[in-house]
Amino acid sequence: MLDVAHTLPVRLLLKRWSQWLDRRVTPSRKVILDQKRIFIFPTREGGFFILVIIGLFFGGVNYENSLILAMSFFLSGLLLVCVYQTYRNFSGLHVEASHVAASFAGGKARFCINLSRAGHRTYEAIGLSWPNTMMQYCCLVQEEEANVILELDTLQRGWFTPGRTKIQTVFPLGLIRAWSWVDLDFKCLVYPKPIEHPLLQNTAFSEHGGKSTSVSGVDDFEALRVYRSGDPLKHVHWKMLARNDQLYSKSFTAEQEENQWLDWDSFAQVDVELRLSYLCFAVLELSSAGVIFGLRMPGGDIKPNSGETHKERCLAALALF
Amino acid sequence: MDKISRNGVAWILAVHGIAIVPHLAHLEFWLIGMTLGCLGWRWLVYYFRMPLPSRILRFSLVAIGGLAIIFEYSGRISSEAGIALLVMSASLKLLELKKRRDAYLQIVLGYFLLATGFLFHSELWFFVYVSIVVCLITAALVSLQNTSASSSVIRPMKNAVKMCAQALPITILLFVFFPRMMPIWSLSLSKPSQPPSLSNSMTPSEISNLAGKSDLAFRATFENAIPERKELYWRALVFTHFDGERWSAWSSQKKNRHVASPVLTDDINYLGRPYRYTVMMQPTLQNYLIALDMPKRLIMTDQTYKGGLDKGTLLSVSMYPDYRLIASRHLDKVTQYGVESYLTYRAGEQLEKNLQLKALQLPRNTNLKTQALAQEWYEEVQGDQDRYVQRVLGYFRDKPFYYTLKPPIFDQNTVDGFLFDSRQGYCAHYAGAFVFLLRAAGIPARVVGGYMGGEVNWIGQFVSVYQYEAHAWAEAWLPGRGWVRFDPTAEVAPERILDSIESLLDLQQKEGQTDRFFSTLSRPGNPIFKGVRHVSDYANYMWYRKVVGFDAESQKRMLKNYFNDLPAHFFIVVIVSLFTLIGVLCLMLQRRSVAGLSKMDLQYRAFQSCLHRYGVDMLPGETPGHFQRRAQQLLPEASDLIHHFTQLYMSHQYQPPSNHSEPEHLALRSMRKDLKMLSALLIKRRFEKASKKSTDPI
Repeated sequence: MLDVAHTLPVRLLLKRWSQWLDRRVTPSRKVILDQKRIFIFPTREGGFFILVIIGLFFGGVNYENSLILAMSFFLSGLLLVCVYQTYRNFSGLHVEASHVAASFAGGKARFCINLSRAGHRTYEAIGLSWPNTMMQYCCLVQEEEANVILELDTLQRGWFTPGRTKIQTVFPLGLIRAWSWVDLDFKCLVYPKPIEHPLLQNTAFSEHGGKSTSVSGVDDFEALRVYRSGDPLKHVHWKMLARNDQLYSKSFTAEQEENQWLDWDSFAQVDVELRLSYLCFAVLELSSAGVIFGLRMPGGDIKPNSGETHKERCLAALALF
Repeated sequence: MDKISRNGVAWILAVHGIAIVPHLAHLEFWLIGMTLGCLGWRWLVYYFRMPLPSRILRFSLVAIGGLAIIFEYSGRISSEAGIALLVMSASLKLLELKKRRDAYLQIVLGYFLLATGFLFHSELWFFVYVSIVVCLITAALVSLQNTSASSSVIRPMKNAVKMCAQALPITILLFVFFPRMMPIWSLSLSKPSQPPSLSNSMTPSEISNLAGKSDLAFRATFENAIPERKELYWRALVFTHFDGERWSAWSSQKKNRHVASPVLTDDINYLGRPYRYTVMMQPTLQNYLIALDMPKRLIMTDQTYKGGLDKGTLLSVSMYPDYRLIASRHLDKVTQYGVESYLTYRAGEQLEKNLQLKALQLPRNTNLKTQALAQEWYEEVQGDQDRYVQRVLGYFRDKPFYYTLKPPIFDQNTVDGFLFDSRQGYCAHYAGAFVFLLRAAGIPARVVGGYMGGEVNWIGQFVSVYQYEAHAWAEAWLPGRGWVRFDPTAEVAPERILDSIESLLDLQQKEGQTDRFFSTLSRPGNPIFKGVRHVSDYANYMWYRKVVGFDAESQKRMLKNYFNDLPAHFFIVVIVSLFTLIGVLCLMLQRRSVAGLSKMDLQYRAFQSCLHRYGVDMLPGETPGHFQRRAQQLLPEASDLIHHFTQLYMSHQYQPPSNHSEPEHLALRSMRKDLKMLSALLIKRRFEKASKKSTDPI
């Protein structure tokens, strides 16, 4: 393929097209497809069809065959009817942004789009996709509404706005394509990719927080010892790691309601993204272990808590750092 | 979603198979075999989930097929070769049917393939067949789409039929009004088989062979009255030269010079009333035209060619000195022309020497017995030519002559054998013998070949003449009377003229020469069959005349009749305005197509767009009430209107019908009034603003 896309004139053209489209297609969560938004043009197969019509027409003229001419006229009529039918299969469709599932960087973000119809008109073979992704199809014949789930690869953390979605149909004959660009104002929060700290590998994470390994019942933290593989993560002394780059486990004499704090500063030597990834991993593990923990970040602290919402809040904080 | 569903494959195979069927009749066997082979192979792949043939195999098939076609058609670029190539590629393409794009191409090719069938068949039944297949092909296209019901058969069919029906009005409109153009280059199909018809050189037995052929020869539609059956002598050929066995037309004649067109010849004196009719002749691959004796005027209605193989010749018709109508090229398709004929005439009162000599030609040293008899009779009547002719006719009447399709054949002295020995023959024998006898007595005479009679269809006022009506009669030149027609066969079998084909069929059946199918089905005796045949004949005839034969000339004439001499570009205007009309219709349907909005909602939308023009927009997620308050603040002079409108809207939209202060249609009406006043008010405001701006001192 010629590398035309990177040349300056093409880039300028694309920029202008994008701007024009921006003016026409404004972000909104619910869109009804109507005349202003719909583009119509023959597909490649439609182009071939037109060639056939022209061929038949000239064949009919040259052979002076009235019936071949009639056939070419009929096919032209069919094409016109197809334009109308394809348009009808498209306009009036309600497109609404539904929920979004958050994801991790490097994974897939899932967006759910809800298609619904208001009147008696049915819609078939409606395709949705983002550029360069696979198209998902949907039909609204018996049902009043349907959900389509589209996946996109996420690259980095933070807010992910995928931009305009292409929605199109080539029903009923596949010769004419009606399409539209809708900007559904999707925002997906992408959390940092969780990476396990190399030193913490083989750590035993038991669901019950390692109660069985407690030694004796003293409230305070008794001593620091070098981390041994198998020590529960909640006993890791994070602050020491920052100073010495060595893991220490706090040993307790009694099982206590320890308020775990995950600290930003724990990983001082490490660069920002990696730090966030480590913290993310830690948050996930602690949450699944059911431990109450808090998150201490330069932007602010999150009070120790447990549960789903707390986890999400922590992850959001990490994502938006 | 790039692969085709299995259902799609099944549809395509079925459609392809059905589309090929009409071509099978004229394709070579190996090509038919290849097509069926490809279909079968692909079906096996479909059914048994076998893998598709490899690329090498496919490529070699293409190469073999291509070579075969080149070999078969000797490298000539003809339409048959083109169609064979098309069929072959379409079939081979089946073997690589995998992706959706292949499927589309296959189907669209199917349309093309189907249409080429019209080059070979133009009958009504074929058209009906094509229509059905077209619907099937369209259904196949529908079935390729990614819908939930992709395995059903009914849904795509219903959709397809609906769309085809919607396309029909456009088709008819374009067919009638789209300006017909002249061919850019002329291409004619080389038909390998000679259709059964009269030809320039025939033996009597060849003419009798036509008796078993039930093919249509031509149809003639009369404007007013139809002549009686016994007057329907249709001239096609004139045979002047006899070599003892075979009668041939005299080809090297000079055409009539300085004939004042449109009259064909100045040699004939026409008497009595004219009969005007239109002939639609089936292709004969010869260049004669058929007309009722004697034609005065002829109007060619089609087939004008520019350039190409014929190098710029128009199809012109001229009358030869023996009153044949000869066209400038061979007729390879249905030809239509109008004729004016007079049944009573006096032809050729002055006989040119050349013509006379030709009409007296006799083969040397043959049929001496006949020549002697002729001399004997001539002396008896003492040179009175009229009496001589009567003497000859009397001979046929009185002596035991029989009418048969299979008379004994003589190697030499065929006329002697016929007149003295067998006395059995077909019309050509009688005509030939008659002419011989006259020539032997020095009377110029010749055999005329053509058709006699025909089946009258009273529904359509036309006469259908079939090949079995082929007839031969004689023409003799008598001083003071010119060329006069004599039909010696009439003397022998009077029922030949007065009755229709029944008697002849009886005759044929007795001799076992008819093919059974023809005799049982089209036996005119059966009244029900006759009625059915008349109706179907009429349908077929109308089909040919109005649709198949609708060419540039017909279009011009039709338009002239209905629209009185309009310039050609008028119709471009019509077509363009037609399409704009379609566009406008689509736009009008736009409003309705914003589906599902109630009338109330539409009014509210109009309200929003009205306010939008003045910069007041509804924010996303804003309720009508909130919007109303905001709008009232921004546009204080329209405050009451906005309030009234929104209240009406909200009460009808959100509250149950019992709470409505008035019925909906009244509410709508007052809402519309509000809108009108609102826009008027805002226009005023804008105007005032603009004028204030202009008068504002800076």
